[in-house]
Amino acid sequence: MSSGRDKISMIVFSGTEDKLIPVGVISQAAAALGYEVNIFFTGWAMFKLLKNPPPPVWPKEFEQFVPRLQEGMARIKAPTWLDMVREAKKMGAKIYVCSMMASAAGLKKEDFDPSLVDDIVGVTTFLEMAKGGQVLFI
Amino acid sequence: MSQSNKLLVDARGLSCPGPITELVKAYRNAKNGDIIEVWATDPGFEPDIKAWISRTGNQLVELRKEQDRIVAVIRVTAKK
Repeated sequence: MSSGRDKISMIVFSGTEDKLIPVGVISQAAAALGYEVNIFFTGWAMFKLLKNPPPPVWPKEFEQFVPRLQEGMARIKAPTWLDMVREAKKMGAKIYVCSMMASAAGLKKEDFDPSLVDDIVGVTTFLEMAKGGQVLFI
Repeated sequence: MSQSNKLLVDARGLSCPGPITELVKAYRNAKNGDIIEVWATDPGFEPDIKAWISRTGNQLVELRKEQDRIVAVIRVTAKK
């Protein structure tokens, strides 16, 4: 699978907004720079890709900063993390869901938003895709 | 020799990584010799444009701060 291009892969585990925002920012920037981008959604983050995703969640310990950050995001007209991921996808980024976690949660491919999820794959496939590049666990 | 173009990318108001994304969109359709001028207000744009230039090997003709924007003038030289 090695393309000779720079490559960044992300294992996205946390489903909280504070972690998903950098997923959007990094994937959009990397895709714009021509990196091969593979994002592997597992854990709680996987549910954010459902056709009917759960509402945004912020970690309890940072709760007091959330309104300030949300107002700031609105003020600078920052796109949502999902908009940034969609932009990255337009530039070639790929999104995968962990098959083991999907099975554990009783989720099938048709439960996920097909405009976001490219495939449900096992970790073997993901590691093979990530081989030789940078990997972030978020 | 084909004629070189001058393109303007107005990325004012966009936060990171918006300005670089908009630049890359314009860059895709550009050819060697073209000039791309980018306007941005994101405070990270100055180091970001330098990083982009160092990565892509294009030429940064000018980078200046004006009162209400950062202006980067790029000459496209690294298209294959």
